[in-house]
Amino acid sequence: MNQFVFADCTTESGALAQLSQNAKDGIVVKAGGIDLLDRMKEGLESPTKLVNIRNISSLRGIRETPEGLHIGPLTTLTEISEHPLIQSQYTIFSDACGNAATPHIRNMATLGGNLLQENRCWYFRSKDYQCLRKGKEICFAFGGLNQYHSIMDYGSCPAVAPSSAAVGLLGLNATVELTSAKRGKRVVGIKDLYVMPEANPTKFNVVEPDELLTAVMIPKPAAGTRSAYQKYGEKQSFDWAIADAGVVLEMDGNVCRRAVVTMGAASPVVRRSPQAEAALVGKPITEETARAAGKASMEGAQPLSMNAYKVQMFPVAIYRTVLLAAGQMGRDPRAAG
Amino acid sequence: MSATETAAGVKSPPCRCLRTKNAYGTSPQSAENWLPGVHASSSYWCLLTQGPAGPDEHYVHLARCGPGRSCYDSPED
Amino acid sequence: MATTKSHPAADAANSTPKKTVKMPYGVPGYTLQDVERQVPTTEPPVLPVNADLEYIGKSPKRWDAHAKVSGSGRYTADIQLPGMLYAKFASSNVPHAKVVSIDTSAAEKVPGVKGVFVIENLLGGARLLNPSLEVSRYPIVRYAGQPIAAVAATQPHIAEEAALLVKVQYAPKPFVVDMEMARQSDAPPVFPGPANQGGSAGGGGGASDVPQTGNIHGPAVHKRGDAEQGFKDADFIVESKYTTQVQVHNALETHGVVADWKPDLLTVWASTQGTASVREELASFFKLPKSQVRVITEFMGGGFGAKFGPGNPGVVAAALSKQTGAPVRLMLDRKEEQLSVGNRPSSDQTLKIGAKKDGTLTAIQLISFGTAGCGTGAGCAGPATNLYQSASLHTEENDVFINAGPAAAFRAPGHPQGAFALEQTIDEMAEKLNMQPLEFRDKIDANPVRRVERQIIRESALWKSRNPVPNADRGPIKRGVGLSQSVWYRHIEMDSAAEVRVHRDGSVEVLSAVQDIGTGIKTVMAQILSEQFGVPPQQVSVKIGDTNYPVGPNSGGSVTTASLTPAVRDAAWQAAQKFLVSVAPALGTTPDDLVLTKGEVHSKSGHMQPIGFRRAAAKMDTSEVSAQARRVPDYDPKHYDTYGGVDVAEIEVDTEMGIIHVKRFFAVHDCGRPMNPSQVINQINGGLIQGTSYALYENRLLDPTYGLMVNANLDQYKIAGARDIPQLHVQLVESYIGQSSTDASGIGEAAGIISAAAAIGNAFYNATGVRIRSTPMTPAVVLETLSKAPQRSNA
Repeated sequence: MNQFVFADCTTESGALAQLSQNAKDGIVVKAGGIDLLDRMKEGLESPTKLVNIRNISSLRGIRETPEGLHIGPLTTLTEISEHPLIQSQYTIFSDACGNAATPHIRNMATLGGNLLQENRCWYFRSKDYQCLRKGKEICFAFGGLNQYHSIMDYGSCPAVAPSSAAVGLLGLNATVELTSAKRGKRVVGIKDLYVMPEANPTKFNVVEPDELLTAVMIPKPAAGTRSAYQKYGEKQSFDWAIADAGVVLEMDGNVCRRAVVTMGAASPVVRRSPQAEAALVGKPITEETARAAGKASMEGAQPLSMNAYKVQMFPVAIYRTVLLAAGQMGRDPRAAG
Repeated sequence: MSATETAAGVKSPPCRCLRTKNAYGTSPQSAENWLPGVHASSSYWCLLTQGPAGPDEHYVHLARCGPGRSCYDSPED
Repeated sequence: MATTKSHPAADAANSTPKKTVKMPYGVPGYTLQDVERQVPTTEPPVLPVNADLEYIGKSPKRWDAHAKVSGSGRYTADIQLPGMLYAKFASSNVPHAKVVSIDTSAAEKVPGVKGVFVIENLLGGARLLNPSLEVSRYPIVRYAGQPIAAVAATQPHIAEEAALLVKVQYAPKPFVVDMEMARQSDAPPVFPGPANQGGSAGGGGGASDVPQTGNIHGPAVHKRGDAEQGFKDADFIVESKYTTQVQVHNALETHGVVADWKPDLLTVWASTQGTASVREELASFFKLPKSQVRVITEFMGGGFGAKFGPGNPGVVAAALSKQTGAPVRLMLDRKEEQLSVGNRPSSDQTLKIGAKKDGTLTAIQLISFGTAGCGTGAGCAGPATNLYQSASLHTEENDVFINAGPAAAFRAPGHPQGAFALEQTIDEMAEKLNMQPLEFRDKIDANPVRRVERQIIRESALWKSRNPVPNADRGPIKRGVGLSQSVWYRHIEMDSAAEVRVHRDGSVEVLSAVQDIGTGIKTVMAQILSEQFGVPPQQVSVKIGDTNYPVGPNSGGSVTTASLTPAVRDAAWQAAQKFLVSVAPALGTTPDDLVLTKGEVHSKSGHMQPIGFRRAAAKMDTSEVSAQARRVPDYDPKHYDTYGGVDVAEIEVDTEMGIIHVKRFFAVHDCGRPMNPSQVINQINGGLIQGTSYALYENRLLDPTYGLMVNANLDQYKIAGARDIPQLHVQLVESYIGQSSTDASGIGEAAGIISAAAAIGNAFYNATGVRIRSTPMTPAVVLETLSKAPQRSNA
């Protein structure tokens, strides 16, 4: 019987104590519970103890600091997407959080949970498939149904990065704070938060069992920064991205001084596209340069048997989002969210 | 379930355990011309198995559930 | 099975005394006239058109709206009985296997488990005529998700846990889940060769002859005229291949029952679209008198065709209740719902039509393959057979078995598939003929109601905004407008009866076993009593969904309103006459001097001032009068009526992204007399949404290597969400046909589900100049389709 202890914590130290005292398998942190309950219902996860951190008020909230923003991991996606400062100066991030899932999920889902959710590959999500990610030999997606899977950088598992928030945070060069009762705090960049499948297929992120994600820090964008995020799915409502793009532009008058282009649904870990960025830096943002950036982003793409269409979609997503960030095109009414 | 006639002539009534949504309802006589189309879009099940196969493990269908099939149960008995 | 013989009741009706009446016939504002009908003398007076009625044809709010939105309405899963157990299926996780053994001992030992039931062949007491035939003890597993056993326990989570402990030993068999592979001669067979149906030795085989070759059941051939000659006679021929996917019903409420087996009565609360079908099958299965089976469906959350009969959940829950002596609830979860209780078959159609220069259709030929999983029913020739007049017709429909869950009837079986191919082919032919889509259809469709509908479309702002030149927009976002027609058929369920009671306190009630699948039959029944007694609908008591009441129709084939409402009106009329008999003495007159109209009792002779219904009721000579009426056969059974509509879709195609956005539908539909226009429009809205979802998103995905469905959830099985749903504008065409005392017809199947994908397909062509011949029209399909387009110099 899947019986578990429900440890309801109201303080960070209380939760950390729960994690450190019982640092063994079967203890799972529960924040919004969105991803965790799905995994438990499917039988992928049978925890012995749920450490509920949902009610730790010190881990929730958005604070402006001299360096930028300090966001508690229990802040909901809705709170982030509706925050005026984030909307105006960290637009890529409010866009990414505001277009995830559905309004009712965004009201429950926390930033920390969104960043640490596990991948959505249907083979991984089925208890009938013992896949590489579960410590077995085989990835079923390569020879199976892979229309929504990665088109680049996939190594041994082509499941795509599930978190939209991470696509936004990567664009803003954000970091997360991980805290352990024994080892104290460490700070990890968003791109280093995730583990590539070939490094360790059963580990999705670097968070240790006794660690809690306790903060997300975003540096203040340079003057002249404009940003945006858009995602495209098969459906406009409640669908996972099949192509998405985060764009941050530091403008010097008409010329792009620095560009960051990020993607989520292209690869197992959120990625930047240096090729797309290079196509923009030092140039004015125009339809032509935006198209060039989109095209450049697919350099090295190796689609699987059923997802070559995504290689057509990403350049368009990037081109339109570059122009959206630059204020030259409206938000795409057909984008999902 | 009533006996059904086809162009080939009068046939035996199907097994009393054959079921389909189309078992319910009557149709005007002149609707005959669309019956083949509707029949081919009919899903059948067996009362005894509540599934698409009969107790003999063959599939059930208006064209199959006739006398001679080992599990056939005549509605006229 | 639909029968080609007239119903016995119709024969009986021929001998009943008749009167001649004049009834409205046709479409008001267009073709309305009077038609003479011979009707039984017991029939109530003819109803005028809706404009002249007070309650019928109006849109009072849904009778049980408050119960639904407040949560007070009791659905099957809300039923709580003392000592009730919760059951859970143990299902196969392999697509094809012989079950060698089933070990339930571990499950039985779980504390709280009260019973385990294993599904065996010959469950319902089948006897094999040929006992030497070897039948395995357990049914062959033919799809992943097939129920194998069930566990009943005191708590749902205990049942779930115990079900996982049922150990099944399989002898796996080769399987096939891909239809193309299943068609190959060396494909693993889903069923053994053709069952020995006896042939001539048994006095004839089944009722119709269809061959079986490997996994192919078919072709079922239907011919009208000489198609070969028809193509020779044609000036133009269009031939194309179309494919459609498997769609899963996914009604909001899953299949399920609560079964309470008592020595004298089996009571079953069921989420069903046929209380009568559940009762009949449970009685037959358990060999109980029907009088000892009671089925209750107070509220239900949709069925779309997949909820006829008790199914495995009903039979197994009843058996577990019998075994444990306790009530048993068995509700499926979403995964089970997607795997084991039905779906709309796929199709792979090659459609060829021929026409003369003047637009006359000379031939239609359809060769179709489709898979209904391990069941049958993938035929899709309905539209090709019935939408248009053609000099000849040749259809061949084939079922291809695969190791997947069996299909079930799904809202207009076969028709969305067939219309997707036919309506695009008709548009393609119109272009060859240099005719406009409406003009060509005027030529080949003589149905007078569809003609009116096309006229309304022709005059609509949306259709006028359509650029007849395809691919006219220069930017990446291309707008397109396209249309499709739909057709469905008038079925009448003669097992439709109702009782109406009038009480001395002036209250009225109507009772029938009919269930409300969600279309609002309760409201319509109340409206009929309101029209008769002058009491507002909310003050009428409507009691349905219980086989203790007079038998009601199963809600399938768009029969409910057309079948039941005449019985309700007849019962109301007869109860009103009994009421007048009952009050006449106290009013000092004779019944034939009295008439009840608009809520008042009038004296024809002027013997007294009109008196309100309630005041008159107080003078009844018994506390209650009642009348029960059954469905009178259609007044003119030789007249063949179809229902249908013409739907226009406006879409935008993002040609760079491959995303189709359906912006709006303008839908013009007929369904006889609309009894409650707002509820009819609700159904059409639902059909258009479901059709859009089918056209663009929904798809059952089976992993070819392991034979499992990978998206058996509502996360990856994609159903249109709020932003995916277009603006919907529905216009009803009142179409009087003079067939019954209410002259109501049906709408459920003709309501948009048939035409949506085809209209979107035609709009896609209008937008892009390219035909899209495959659903769902995902970005992958759209981009692939556009990539094959011939490059246009001006594009």
